[in-house]
Amino acid sequence: MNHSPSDDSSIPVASRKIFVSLDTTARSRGSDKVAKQVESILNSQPELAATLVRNGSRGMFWLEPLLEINTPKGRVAYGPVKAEDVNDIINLHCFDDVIEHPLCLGLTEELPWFKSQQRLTFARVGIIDPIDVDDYISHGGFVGLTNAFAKTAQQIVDEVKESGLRGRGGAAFPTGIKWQTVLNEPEQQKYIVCNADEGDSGTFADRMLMEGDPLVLVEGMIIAGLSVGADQGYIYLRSEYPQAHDILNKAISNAKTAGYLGDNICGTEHNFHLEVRLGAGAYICGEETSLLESLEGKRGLVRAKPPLPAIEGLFGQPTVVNNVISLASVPYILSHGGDSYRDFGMGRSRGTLPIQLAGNIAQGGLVELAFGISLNELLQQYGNGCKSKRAMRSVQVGGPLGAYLPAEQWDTALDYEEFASIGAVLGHGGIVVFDDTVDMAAQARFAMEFCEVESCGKCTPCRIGAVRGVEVIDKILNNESDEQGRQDSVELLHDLCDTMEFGSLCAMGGMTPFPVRSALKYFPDDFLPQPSTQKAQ
Amino acid sequence: MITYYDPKTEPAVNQSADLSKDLGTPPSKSTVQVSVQIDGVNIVVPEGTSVLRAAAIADINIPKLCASDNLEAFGSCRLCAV
Repeated sequence: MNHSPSDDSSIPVASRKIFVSLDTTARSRGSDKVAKQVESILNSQPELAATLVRNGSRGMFWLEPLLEINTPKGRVAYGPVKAEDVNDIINLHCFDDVIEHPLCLGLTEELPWFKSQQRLTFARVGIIDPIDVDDYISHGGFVGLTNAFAKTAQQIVDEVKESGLRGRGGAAFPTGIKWQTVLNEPEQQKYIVCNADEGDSGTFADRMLMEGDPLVLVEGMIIAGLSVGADQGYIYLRSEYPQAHDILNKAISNAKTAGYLGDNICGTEHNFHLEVRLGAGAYICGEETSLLESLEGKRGLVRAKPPLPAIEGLFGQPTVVNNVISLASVPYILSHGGDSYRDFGMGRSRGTLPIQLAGNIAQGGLVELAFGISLNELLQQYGNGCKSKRAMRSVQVGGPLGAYLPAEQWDTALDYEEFASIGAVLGHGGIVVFDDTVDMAAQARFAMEFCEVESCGKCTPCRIGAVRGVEVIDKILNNESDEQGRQDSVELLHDLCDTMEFGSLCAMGGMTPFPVRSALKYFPDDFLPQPSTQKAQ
Repeated sequence: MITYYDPKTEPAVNQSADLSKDLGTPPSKSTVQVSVQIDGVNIVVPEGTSVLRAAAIADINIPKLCASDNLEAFGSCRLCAV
């Protein structure tokens, strides 16, 4: 599915290209300096006749800044590259073949880490120029939209239902059923809202996609608009993503110029307008009803459900609220068919999941794979162990409100139901790794503290429960002599977790007990009184 | 756009038959009747009625703060949650 731009035996001089990523992670590792160096060499040596393309990242963050050069055999990767290496590489006939160079990694698409992935949603990320509509189209873009034009609204919804796609934001609600609910509402102003408030720790799939292939999200939102009868879309983007903001706005503007957004898109009778709105730094605004409040210009306070946003959402109108990855998966489903997407995965988890490896891991990055792979395979085969070279002790999956998993649970397959059966969540697919120096009691305390800071304050179990949670954990940790008192406090903590889990209005307070309980259950020794010198040596 | 509730011009949304009673949550629109027993008291209510409302109709007091006929559903205090 990843094509090199040309199969000819030699690259015509005019299409010589050098790729350096503009992804935020790549930039944080110095890709801007590398790109600047490439540009200055190309300016001083016009005979090279090559152009620099700033593309998305391939997701192999430990190799960033990655420099890629297209050759007759495909793209050749060099990494991690420093500005001073660039001159060497460019002047070594790098446009003809894979060359001998200490930084040369060979053909990008033959790298085992990359080759073994099943990139459906991320098929173009790291390959195309993110804001170039023609480049997007030449790599299979807008095929799904063209197919959608030939279908009725109901047929589009049926195709999405057939695919088995479930919300990738974390709650895993079937996307097709959500769309059906909005479609079933009488004809009126309806909205498509994209939740791009990617606030979970260790997650970056939304950002990578928006920076590397924003047009697939635009296409997914247009299709969603066609399917439910909405002519206005909003992307609610977190303010911490300035690069994604810039790229999204450019991509939207280019799509508008090319006739894919606005009135009478592609010469049809359909209209679709799209705008990006920025958040203001609140984690809770990633919760859909809170997000809608914020989008309406109000304080991000969670709404009581029902009514569902699908019936009374943005400005009281029927609204589809979907995560970036859910919407970006739709063009593939419409271009290849729902059954083709459904063929990937296991059980009731169909398709692929963009998994984000983060934390203390040697090879961090984005791996898109069908559901069903085990955590162990991911951590060892793709992650290659801890970055600190120490033993791995604990893994948190699904963001700051996900459970901590001990080693004996790492054979669990990535599947929503399998994770639920061990009291964990898959969430948005973010995996954060900790080595044996981690203090799990401190992590449990942090979960409560996080909830205290980020709670919207509307419902009592979350607002007050989180404060009490921090206090009770402190009481457990600071109690060195009174064993009975310690046990009473642990029991109280469990009781508090029950209240938060069942009494909270949304998943913020409802899921905070997950990391706390799992830390207590699987790492009880960390909660025992111990001289501070023994801890975290 | 500011919207507000004017009791002089608009009928109360959740008004119950007996104004002396605050039933807390809005009535169900269902025409199907179901019978429930709360604390040994039998009561017949439309399907979809909240437990809180059914109990209030049967004169059983479930503590509540933010659930009121005078307010739109807000769901913040969780006092009634069991």
